[in-house]
Amino acid sequence: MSASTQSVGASVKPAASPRRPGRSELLRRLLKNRGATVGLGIISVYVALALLSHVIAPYSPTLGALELRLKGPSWGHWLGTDELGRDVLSRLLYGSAISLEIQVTAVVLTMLVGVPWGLLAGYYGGWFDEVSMRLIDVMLAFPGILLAIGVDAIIGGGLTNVIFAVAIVSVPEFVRLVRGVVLGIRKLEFVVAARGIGESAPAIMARYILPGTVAPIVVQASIRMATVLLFASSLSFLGLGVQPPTPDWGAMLSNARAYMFLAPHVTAAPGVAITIVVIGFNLLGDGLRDVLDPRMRGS
Amino acid sequence: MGRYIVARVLLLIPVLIGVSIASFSLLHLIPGDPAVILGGSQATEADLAGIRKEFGLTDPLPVQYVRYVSQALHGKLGISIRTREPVADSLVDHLAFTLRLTMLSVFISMVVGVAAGVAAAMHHNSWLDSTLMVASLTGISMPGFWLGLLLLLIFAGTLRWLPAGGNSGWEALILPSVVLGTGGAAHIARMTRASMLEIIRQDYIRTLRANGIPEFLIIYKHALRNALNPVLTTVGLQFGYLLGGAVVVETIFSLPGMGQLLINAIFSRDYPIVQSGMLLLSVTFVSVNLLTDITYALVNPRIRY
Repeated sequence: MSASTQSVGASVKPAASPRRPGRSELLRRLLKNRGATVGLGIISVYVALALLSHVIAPYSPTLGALELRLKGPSWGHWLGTDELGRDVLSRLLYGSAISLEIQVTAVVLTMLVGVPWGLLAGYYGGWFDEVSMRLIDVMLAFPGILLAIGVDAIIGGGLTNVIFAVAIVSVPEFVRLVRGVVLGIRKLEFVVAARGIGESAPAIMARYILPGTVAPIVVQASIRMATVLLFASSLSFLGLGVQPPTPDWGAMLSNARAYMFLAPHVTAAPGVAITIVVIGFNLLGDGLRDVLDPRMRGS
Repeated sequence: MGRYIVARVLLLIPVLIGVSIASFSLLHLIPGDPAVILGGSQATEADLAGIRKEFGLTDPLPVQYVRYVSQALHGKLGISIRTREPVADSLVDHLAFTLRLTMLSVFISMVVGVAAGVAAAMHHNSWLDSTLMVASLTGISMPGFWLGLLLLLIFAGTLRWLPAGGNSGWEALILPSVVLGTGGAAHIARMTRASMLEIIRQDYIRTLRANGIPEFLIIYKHALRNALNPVLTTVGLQFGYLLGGAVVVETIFSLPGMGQLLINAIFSRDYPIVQSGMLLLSVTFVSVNLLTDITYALVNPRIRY
């Protein structure tokens, strides 16, 4: 969104600049990016609420009072109550901790697999690269959410399995991304020189190539945090993911659907929460891309 | 051109082999004896022996795989565990429905997305630009199934304009395709805008302006044509994205598509349907990608393999 306002700084290619921008310089540019700031703000609030949910939630997320069933918002229950008389706000807060756990674990898992895989495929090339790329092609032959559904059909539902399913689905993107960047770097002079003075392949990858992949990985990770939440909540919504009574946002929507015409507020709350968090990570991702990797803009 | 198409088709072969292996493996990756999975927990030892014989489960896996593929190529997509009937017919009907929904959504997302993207780029940094970009960010970030529930709530609940679901003719397709189209339109709007902004900064556009060509001709005849190239390349991806989305959205509107079929099959552990459903959907997806690539190469002679 702020693409044009930054075009002056962006036209300087990092490789061509005499000096890489320092960390504080990058942070300053990030904070000047309006979208990124809003995104960071949303994410900070979200993370804080998730970490403190057990302390600040006014009620239990699983115990309700049946006489308070499906009540609209009130002073006692800001977001009303659900079909079992449970406080929607408390469930939403506990749910934020579950969402955050899914997002962080899944993205970290994906990176642990995808980054080394892409690094090795890009650096060594040859048959390993060939086989890897064909395998990735096969994974990408299933539309994302469908692959997650398929994995879920094999390993079953539940929190841990949802994390695995969305992590597996995210791997191809990272492998391709890292491999592409590595292909661009490995022919550069400083890498050839390092090889020339006899540095070992692992050392070259760790010292010279990996740093070049950090920026695109950070951008991708932020955007993936958004996608992962959308996929995971879709799975839970379909009844294939996190199961009730766990206050997962997708599972809450799945429950609320049965009586949505009776109590629309129960349907509204988790959807708004998911949308806001996903907007936060998308904004941060866009902002990071503008700041870290101007060449990727618009792609 | 011919060489490009041949190369592109050949590249599809390993993918199709991989996809068929993945689909075949489903039954064997699920924890437990495939015969028990197919026969259900009440099956007696005699039943299981019969199932093993019927499905050839005692053969080596490669033999089973080859049989699976050759049957699939002959249109035999397995037998439903629940109904004991061949699944091919109902799969094809459900797939046709999902394809109709997906294509309608792709159409909506192209029209709305390109229009919004051009409008935003033409009024760069104005209130219209900001509004459209905030709207498209929201469109990208909103879970489709939730948007579906909201629209149901408004149009089927409060206003009672449209049916809440079920296949009761074309009007049942309106809400689901709008829901699906929204996410796609949001993506396309962002891409069109970025691409337009890049194009209108180029020299030939400035030359056209300097020559006094009317602005609308510059935009629609010269700029848009070039700006749409990168957008069109993603139609294949959009299609896959919407195909996956359709599977989820169908379940909200109780539509008789692949989504409903697949999800029900997963719940009732009817794995032959899950297998064939996944296979069909991914073959559809890669075929559409192939068609997009070839069409793109045909209209854009600079692209060569």
